[in-house]
Amino acid sequence: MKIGLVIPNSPGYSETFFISKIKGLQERGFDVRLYCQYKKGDFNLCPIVCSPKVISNPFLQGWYFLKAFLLLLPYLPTIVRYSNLERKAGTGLIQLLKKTYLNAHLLKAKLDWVHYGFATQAIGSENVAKAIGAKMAVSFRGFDIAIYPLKHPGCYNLLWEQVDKVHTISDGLLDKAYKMRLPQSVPVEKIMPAIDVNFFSCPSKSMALEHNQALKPTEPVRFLTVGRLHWKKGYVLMLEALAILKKKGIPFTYTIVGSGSKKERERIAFAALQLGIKEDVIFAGTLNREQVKKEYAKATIYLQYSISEGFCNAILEAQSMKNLCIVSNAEGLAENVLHGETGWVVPKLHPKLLAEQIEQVIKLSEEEKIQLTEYAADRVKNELSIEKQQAEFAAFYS
Amino acid sequence: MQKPLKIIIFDGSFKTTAFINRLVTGLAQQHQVYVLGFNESLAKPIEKVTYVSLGSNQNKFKLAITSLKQAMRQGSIRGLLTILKKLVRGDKKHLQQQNLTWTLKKINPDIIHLQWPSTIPWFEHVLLEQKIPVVLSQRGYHNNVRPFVDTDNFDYLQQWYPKIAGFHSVSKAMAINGDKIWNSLNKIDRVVYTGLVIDEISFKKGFTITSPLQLLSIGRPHWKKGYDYALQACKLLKETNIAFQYTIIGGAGDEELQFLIHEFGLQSCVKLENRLPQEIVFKQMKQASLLLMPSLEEGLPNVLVEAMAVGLPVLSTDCGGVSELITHAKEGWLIPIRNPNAIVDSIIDFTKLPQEQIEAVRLAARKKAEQQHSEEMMVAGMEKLYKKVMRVQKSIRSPKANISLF
Repeated sequence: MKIGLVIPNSPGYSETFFISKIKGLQERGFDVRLYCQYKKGDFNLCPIVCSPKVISNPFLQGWYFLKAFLLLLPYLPTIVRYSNLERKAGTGLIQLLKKTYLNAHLLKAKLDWVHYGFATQAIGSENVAKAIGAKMAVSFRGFDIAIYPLKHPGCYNLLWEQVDKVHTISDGLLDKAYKMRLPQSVPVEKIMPAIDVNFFSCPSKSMALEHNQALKPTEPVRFLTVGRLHWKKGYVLMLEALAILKKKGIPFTYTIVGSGSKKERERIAFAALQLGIKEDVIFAGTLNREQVKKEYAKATIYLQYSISEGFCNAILEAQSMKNLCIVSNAEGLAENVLHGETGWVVPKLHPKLLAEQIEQVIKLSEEEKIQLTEYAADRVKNELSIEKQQAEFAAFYS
Repeated sequence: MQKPLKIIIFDGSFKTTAFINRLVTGLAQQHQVYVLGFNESLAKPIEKVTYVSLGSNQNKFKLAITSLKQAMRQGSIRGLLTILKKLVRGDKKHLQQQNLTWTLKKINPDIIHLQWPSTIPWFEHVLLEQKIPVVLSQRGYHNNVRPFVDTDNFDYLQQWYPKIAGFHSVSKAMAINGDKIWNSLNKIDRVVYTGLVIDEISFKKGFTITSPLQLLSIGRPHWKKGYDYALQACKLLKETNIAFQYTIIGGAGDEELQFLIHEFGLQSCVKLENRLPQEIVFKQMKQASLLLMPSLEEGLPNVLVEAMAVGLPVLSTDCGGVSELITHAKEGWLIPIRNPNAIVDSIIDFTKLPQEQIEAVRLAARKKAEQQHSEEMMVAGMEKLYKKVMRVQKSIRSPKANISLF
């Protein structure tokens, strides 16, 4: 079976989700190829087809346009089918030409499934799968469902009409899609993200014990968050909660692993300054996999108090590394962390509640902490492993 | 009559901001004002002001033409070759830098006034030479946020501030922030408040609180404006069953604000508007009940001064230079930063105030705007700063000169 995966660019080897999905499908005999805007780095896991170029030079763009249409001539029946579908959907002639050009790489493909890695990727390509005689799948990943449609109401109306199957990483996102009129009749498969549990693992219980030593009142609590610096991650809210703890005399350090725009970094750093915790916050920047693992190993409490979050792989890694995890109830987080069983889920946008929850966690007995982190790590290992995810994706297309 | 000065105003663009334009307009009445920028033309140029292009940022062809014209004016083959070499390399920044050097040589200004610290890199050679005095405005984010969260930026400013002849600060608070970067007994730093043509702003008579309560904020959707806290406050306000409409002019299209409005269920009572022309903003101010400014940091916000001049009561966070404009409950109301509960409580308190008390605050606010923020005062203040800087510069060059004049 031939699967065409449409994503913005070829994934880096640290991008577990797509890499493990591709490997898993290949191991099960699927022919996978990527359809991207551009190829990044030395990716060679599967063939990549890049989309036609869009450039500002009108002369060169004209040449690319002409070349793309000439190369589409052998696929005339597909183009006619595509044009008919687009005209039926009310697309004007100019728009049709643009869409044909932008989808030229896909219109030449011979696939059984066209799978859009994010719902936003499918916008403007809704009729492509049908035109080439393939089935169409789309993944709900977070931003595409929770944020993008607020700025572009009705952007998925055509997608909902054409999609054959939906993959969601959480029920929270699916609920949002239903509220945006995704028909209940469209088949849906929930496949949660997975991590490499063999890599992100604590060698022994003693290490977990060692972690929890830091929760003694005299030692600073070592908080950690891994994620890009973006407003939706709720960093300022976490700092507000930590500032409350500081006022109560609870010593801590807070390490943020990840990078982002200068504007967002300044926002977080300025909040730390105004809240009087500048000296307690460490911006570790972007780290490689090994370094991130070391940060998990050093941390005692992992915080992910996001405003919006599809699922979040970092929390899986933190649980696997036996960190005590406190998260918000944004979209898929309450499915990632089970409140009171594998961590704690706090209503989002309430830094005071977050501070209260942190205090309660600090006060837990050592046994309670160990019991919870062990259970969390076991759950990730058994229910959110890459092997399980790979098998689920293979079943998705069958 | 005093000899007019040759003043270069630089913020990188011809268009600049409304408040820099007001300064340029005022200065151009008495002086030769040059605005340099990386544009080619301006739709509505200010009268008596000379605009000099340093080469377009947007159009490579226009940049090439401007650069070649500049080179031809020099009348030197070497200059022409230099430009041609840079054109071939596509070296935009160096072309613009070369154009700036030639422009400065041609104008030979008495003073260069940089509007933002981010423009310093263009004038490093001028600062190193110490021939033309450079004045730097300390206005906002680049002075009171970035240096304190970005060590490289702080170090850079600390390196160049001693070479700047004089500073203009938009508020006393801003001057204090500037001193944290660099201070010296000889530092010239003058607080010159923003100026408005107050006579052209009519004061709204017969104010009453509208129902639903019309709340208004004005400004770009930058995080430092604190609109996320204002929206949290709106959520709390909605829970009190007070009917209100909150409009953020300039907030349209912001992803975070849209998300929060949706999240808090505020779609029916919060509106994000596009940027609007000044006259329409004034009209909206006259229809509103309260201006809300939830900022986390400010220099001295023009929008507060404008609202006070119009007669719109103002509720602002106590940040930056705001307390130099508003004494709590006298010319408006102050609240702490990052505190949605304080915003809600103050809004509720405002709705319960007797009419006479609101009227007294409105009148006091207008008076404060008139007394502290006239355009004449701004221009005169800036002229004094320029002249002081030039006198000191002159005395440094000729130590025997009588410096008791200042």
